[in-house]
Amino acid sequence: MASTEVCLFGRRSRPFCAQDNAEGETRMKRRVGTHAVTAISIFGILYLLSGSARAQSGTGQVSVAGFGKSTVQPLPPGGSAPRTADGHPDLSGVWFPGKIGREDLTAEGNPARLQFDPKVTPEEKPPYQPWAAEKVKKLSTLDAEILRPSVNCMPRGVPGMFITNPYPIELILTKTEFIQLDELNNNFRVIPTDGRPHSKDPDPAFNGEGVAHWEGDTLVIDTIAIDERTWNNFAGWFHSDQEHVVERISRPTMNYLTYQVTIEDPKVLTKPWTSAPRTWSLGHEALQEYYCTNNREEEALKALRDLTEGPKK
Amino acid sequence: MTHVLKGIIPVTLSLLFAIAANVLPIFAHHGFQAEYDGSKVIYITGTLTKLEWENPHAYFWVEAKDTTGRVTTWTFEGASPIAVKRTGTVRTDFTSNIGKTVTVRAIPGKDGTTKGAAETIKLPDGREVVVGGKRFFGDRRSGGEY
Repeated sequence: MASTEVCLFGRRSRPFCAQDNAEGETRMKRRVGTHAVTAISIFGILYLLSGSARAQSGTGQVSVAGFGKSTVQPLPPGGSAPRTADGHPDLSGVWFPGKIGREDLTAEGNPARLQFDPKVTPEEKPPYQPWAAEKVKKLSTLDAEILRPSVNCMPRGVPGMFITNPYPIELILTKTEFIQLDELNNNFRVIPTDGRPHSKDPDPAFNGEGVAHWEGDTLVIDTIAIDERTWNNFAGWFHSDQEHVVERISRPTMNYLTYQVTIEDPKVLTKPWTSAPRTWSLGHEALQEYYCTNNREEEALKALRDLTEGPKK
Repeated sequence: MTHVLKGIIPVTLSLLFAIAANVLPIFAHHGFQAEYDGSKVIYITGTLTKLEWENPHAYFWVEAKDTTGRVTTWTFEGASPIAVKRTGTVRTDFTSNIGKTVTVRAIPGKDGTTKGAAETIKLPDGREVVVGGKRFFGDRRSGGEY
């Protein structure tokens, strides 16, 4: 009943793939023991379930709420950006991707909800080296979907925590640090803003090693040592250990944050790639909790248990 | 078999639906295209029986009669609770309607089981509220992931 790929992404402790479903049914049937009536019922309900989806698939019985008809509007500029005591634009605040300052699922397709409008500020495709282009080209659309780190609940890393993140973030600017709190998986990063250089040989990390300095009213974050398991988009843009990410963040007005990133990767790209200016807008609500969860850990733990104790009967 | 089941269902109804909910493969964070068929849309009208308002995705269950009159349990997956809530649909929209009749618009699973990626749910008060992103014909662009 379940295909291989969907088995990989189950999350629950209850049966979640073909093998586990079989075990689950076995346990269930054991509980009902020799009760013939219930056993027949189990068969019956499975029979009904298998047929009902086909019986009910179809189109149109009720009107549909207004996807794509949302009236969301971009926030107004909101006046000048506040400044910190030492004169820098204060980047602090809760920020939502796009221009509406909040989340609204009905606004999907509305350019105001996007970080940028590709019709207005198109982005260059990643300038892959031929071997890298070939590697990415081999990915089917489905491959790209089920192999992308984010679907597997991996951290999106840098710059993913900005450019592939649909959830709000909170930025906190202190005298010495830029702090980014991500609602997505309760992730965070803390970047010194005193202009210090990178350490000599930083260990790889999902968020890499970031250091920052100010260039006028723009905070520039320079990041290296990014864990190679992250992707820079949802379509297979992998990177090497030589990736170098430079993010530029400014707050042109009270309600808007502008983010632009340049990615260098001499092992994968032919030249640096620079994103379109991305827009985030000021929200007026606290971050909540969002966790991606994944049963792969469960599978790994089960394998370890089986290794030491033998498969559970 | 149908005749036998008609006699059994009233007695073992709750057990059957508990079993149904457990043997159905239900998934949370996953590739949409891997599991659902975005080229189809279904509308299921039935009794809302249960809600799981939890990360990473909200789930709810609806008991509905198929075209032959048989009652089946549908498992629906929505977006993350916080994304749904920010769109204006709150947990009590579900919990206050348990046991009542609703209509769900959803994208069916590819495996033919009674599950769907829900877009909206029409509540007894007539409101059709959003419970997931737009999935029908689309969602193949990057960025549409929660």
